[in-house]
Amino acid sequence: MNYLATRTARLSAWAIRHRLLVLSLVGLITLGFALVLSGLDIRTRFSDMVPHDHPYVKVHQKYQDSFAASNRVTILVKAREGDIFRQEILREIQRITVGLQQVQGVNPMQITSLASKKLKRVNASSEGIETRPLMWPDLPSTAEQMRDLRQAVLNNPLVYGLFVDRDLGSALIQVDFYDHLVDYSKIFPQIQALLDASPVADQVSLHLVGEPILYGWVSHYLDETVGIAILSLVAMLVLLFVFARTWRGTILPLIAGVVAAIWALGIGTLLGYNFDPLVIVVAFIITARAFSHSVQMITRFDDLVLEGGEPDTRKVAEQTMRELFRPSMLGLYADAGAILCVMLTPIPLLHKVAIVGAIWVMSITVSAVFLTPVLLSYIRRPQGYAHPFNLDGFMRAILVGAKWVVRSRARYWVGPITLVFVAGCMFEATRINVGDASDGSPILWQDSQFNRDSALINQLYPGSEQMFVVLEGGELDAMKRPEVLDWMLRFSRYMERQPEIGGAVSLADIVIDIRRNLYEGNPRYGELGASSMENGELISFYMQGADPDDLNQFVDVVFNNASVTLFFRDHKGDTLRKATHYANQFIAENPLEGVEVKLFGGVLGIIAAVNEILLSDQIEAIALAFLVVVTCCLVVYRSSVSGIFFIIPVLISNVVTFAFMAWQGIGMSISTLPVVALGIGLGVDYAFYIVDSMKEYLEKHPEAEHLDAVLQSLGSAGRGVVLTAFTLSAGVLFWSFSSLRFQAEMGMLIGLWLAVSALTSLFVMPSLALVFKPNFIFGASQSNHAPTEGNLTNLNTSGNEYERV
Amino acid sequence: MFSSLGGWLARLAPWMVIGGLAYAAVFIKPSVDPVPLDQPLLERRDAFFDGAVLGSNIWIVGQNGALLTSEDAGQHWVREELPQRSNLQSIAVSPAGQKVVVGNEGQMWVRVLDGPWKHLELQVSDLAGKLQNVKFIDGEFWVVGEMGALFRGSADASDWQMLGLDEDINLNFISAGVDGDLWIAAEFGRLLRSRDGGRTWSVQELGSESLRALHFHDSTGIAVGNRGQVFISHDAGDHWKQLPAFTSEHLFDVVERDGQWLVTGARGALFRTDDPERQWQAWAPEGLDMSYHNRLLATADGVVLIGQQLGLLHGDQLQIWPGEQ
Repeated sequence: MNYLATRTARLSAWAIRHRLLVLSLVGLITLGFALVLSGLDIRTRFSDMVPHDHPYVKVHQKYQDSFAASNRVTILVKAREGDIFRQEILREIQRITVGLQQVQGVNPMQITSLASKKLKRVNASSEGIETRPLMWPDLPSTAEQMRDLRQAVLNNPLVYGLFVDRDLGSALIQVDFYDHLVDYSKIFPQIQALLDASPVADQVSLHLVGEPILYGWVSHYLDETVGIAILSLVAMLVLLFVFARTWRGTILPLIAGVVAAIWALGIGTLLGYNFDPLVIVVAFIITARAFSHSVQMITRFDDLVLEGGEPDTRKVAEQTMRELFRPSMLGLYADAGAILCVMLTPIPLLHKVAIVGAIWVMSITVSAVFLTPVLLSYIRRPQGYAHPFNLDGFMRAILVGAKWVVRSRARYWVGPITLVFVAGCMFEATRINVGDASDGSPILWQDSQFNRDSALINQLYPGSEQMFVVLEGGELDAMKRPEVLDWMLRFSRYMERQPEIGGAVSLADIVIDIRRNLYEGNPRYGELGASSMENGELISFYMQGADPDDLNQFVDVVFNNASVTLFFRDHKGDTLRKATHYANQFIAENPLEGVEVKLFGGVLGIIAAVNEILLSDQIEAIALAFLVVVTCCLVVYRSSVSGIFFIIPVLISNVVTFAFMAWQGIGMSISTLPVVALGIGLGVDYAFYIVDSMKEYLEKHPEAEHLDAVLQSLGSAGRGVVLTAFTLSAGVLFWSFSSLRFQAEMGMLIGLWLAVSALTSLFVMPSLALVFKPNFIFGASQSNHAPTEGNLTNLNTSGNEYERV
Repeated sequence: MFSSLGGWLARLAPWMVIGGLAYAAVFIKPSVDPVPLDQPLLERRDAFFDGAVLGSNIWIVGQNGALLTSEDAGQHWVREELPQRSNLQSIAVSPAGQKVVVGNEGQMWVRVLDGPWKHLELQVSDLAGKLQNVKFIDGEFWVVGEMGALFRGSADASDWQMLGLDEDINLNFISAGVDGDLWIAAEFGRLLRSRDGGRTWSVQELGSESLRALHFHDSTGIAVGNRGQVFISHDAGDHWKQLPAFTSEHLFDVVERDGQWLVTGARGALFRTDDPERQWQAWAPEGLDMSYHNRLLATADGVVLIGQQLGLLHGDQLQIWPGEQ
């Protein structure tokens, strides 16, 4: 510890002695990174969210050009009255279908609607089965043609129920986009403009869903998001100014935050990383950390100025840096280590977040730990105030409460009460859901246009979101075998028992429908052929007049591999986990000779893969993040007890936050995991300052009573904790006005985290320190109450002697 | 000694916590084990084809070996899957409770009251052996099917006699007529009639479209078939007259109850009339979907509607079955 203290003292002295050099270096580097920022790419990339080594993703990537639709957009055209079989409405479907071909990145072969070539009418005649487009290229022009179209729709189970709802009141248009050309910020406005130009808006309502649309909404709200971020930062600075009453208390945290942000984003840009608008919350938390560390420096500086009367600000700045170097670095290393644990989760977005996040956190060592004291050393009137309003009473009231707890016998009740509270929260926290926890998208509010459209489509159709399983036959025509087709039917039937699965479709459904049509539409003949040959003939009938790629969605051209597509009404984590379990169960109980069944492809397949990874890795990531905290404490304090002691605030803040997430239905997802990991580091920062301040005091005043050290710590570091926790929590409240539910919830989460960790470090940790008297804090004390590590469990029963002011 | 032990425990405890965290990080992998997906009463893919009524008991059969049973006129239902889960085409029940279910490739299952199902296999053509319909008429079971398959079974369903027509014709439906007549609705617009208990059959050709069902009430008979064809006879079947088409949909069944005639068929086709010679009215009671309906069964409470959807037509309403789902 002495070695560390000596090095810290030298470093602090050097930094202040060469303050101009430090400022110039930091300024130049910051300028360089700021210039790089012009190339910052702000957008969401689908491939970033894909765990490329997961078996489901491999299946998806192998078959995405045939069975999958990674970037599918679904448009619902709904008649306001009656059914859709009217010229005006069918013409609207045709207009949108044609217009979609002009949207950037569209795959023109994957536009499917009543007005496209892909949906067919199937008629049986004496020559066999006749298939021709339902409504392409011309619309029905007579009443008879309209009636024929209606009957053709009703006769085709691949259209009726899937592309036209069972009440005939609406129709779906589906379109897919090339992966490499997808730009959510362009797709959404272009399609929206196409829909806004509807000439029959009084007769139809138009609804729009799909992943590209969801992320299009996120891009749409980017300006608002940036606005809220700026607003909350300004609010924090205003609050800091009001409470701190000094310009330095406002501007230096701002500089610390801005410099760290420029460094991290600059390095991220140089590494070729894009900035996902959804992780702006993570950026916000780290900036808040920069503020917090800078405020601690300023608070300590102010305290030392008050202690010393008319001091030399250079010496005070040096002393500030020296005294706070240890807790600051400890907190930052713990933060960076915790977020680096996110790298264990093999998802590119999380890798990027972990790397940039760790860089960002470590940039704070420069922007707050070095830069703030260096800038403080330039202060000329350290005891002046910028405004006359003194709102110190608010903070003092909280600190008086915290001091009362440690002075009174209430401190003995803190441990048991905390234990009961944590146990209760832990019970609630076990209900937390991995994956999305609510219907629709958790990124947007439940009453958002997107989620309302999604709910409407899921109400009228089997489900707007899909995943598929693949049957790999290993030989030509394997998919025509009756037992293989029968397996598809039985699998579909079994999976459809799950209430969240609205339906399933496969080649087998086509075969049985062709057979039914061949037998005069008699439903009794809706069965598979008895042999591969019969099934092959039935498929040949269907392909007469069809395009070669018409069956691509179901089977490859040589009938070697096929898919069974499942339609889901929601993509909750629980829904996908159950579906995975049931599918695996069915496959295990119904082996298919010569055919390998592989799970899962499609957008939901990827989400299921992400959820599986989060589920299997979350314990690992969280446990390792805890270990990082323990290890940091072990290294710095050389005490195993310190690691355990500092886990307490982390545990409390995490358990409370998880309980809040479970209570509010916020799932653990790819978007929330970085926030959770950062929260682990966040939960311990304040405790480091409080506890280290006690230790620092006792190292300076070995004869001091333990209680004095605790009270001094609450008065000094505690003031900084209250100041930052209150201003940052108030600032994040602005996020609750966000049109993006995810950001609003994350704002609440961060606010809660800050509040809980502040309360824990003010009301719980000091009492626990006094009750258990760990040696790593009180070892330097020469008072009678200094225990050794060996008798940590001995309670101090002479608490009454602390009952003095 | 205790204080020394406590001291050691205090020293070890932090390392135990650290070890526990490391163990959790490496070895603990959460898993899911949701509730089993039990067989529901109805599945989305269910397709039912026929039913039988005896008192307040109702039986309905369909694809995938599905047999639904209600002992309280449709208030509550039980589902069972007949062995092999093959498609069941028709069911008949004798007044004594003997049940006969027929399916594809000559498959038959018989059961007395609550006894076990017994599997039989009738001899049918290798080319096409679907048994389309079974009825209990005048103390005997009658079965018709593809390739002119015609079988007569004893009242206990133990003894079966093949009376095949030896012709490549699909016999769709068998029904009792007036004065002990037997009637078969068949392919190519053919209506077969036997006045001697099935020994000989006369054929009438009513157009070329398949006839799917017929029903007699007193001396009035109505036969329905593909493309909306409806034929009526007022003289117990001696003469038939085609009614003006009121639909182009395939019609699958016809029934009379309390003086009202109903026909049903593909794509939600449902018509009713009190005077079958004149005005047939399209009927779309609330809840009726646009799928096929294959069978109409007159019961004391109304008319049972069997198809992709199940329900009871009574008054002007459709009560969807099963109610508890």
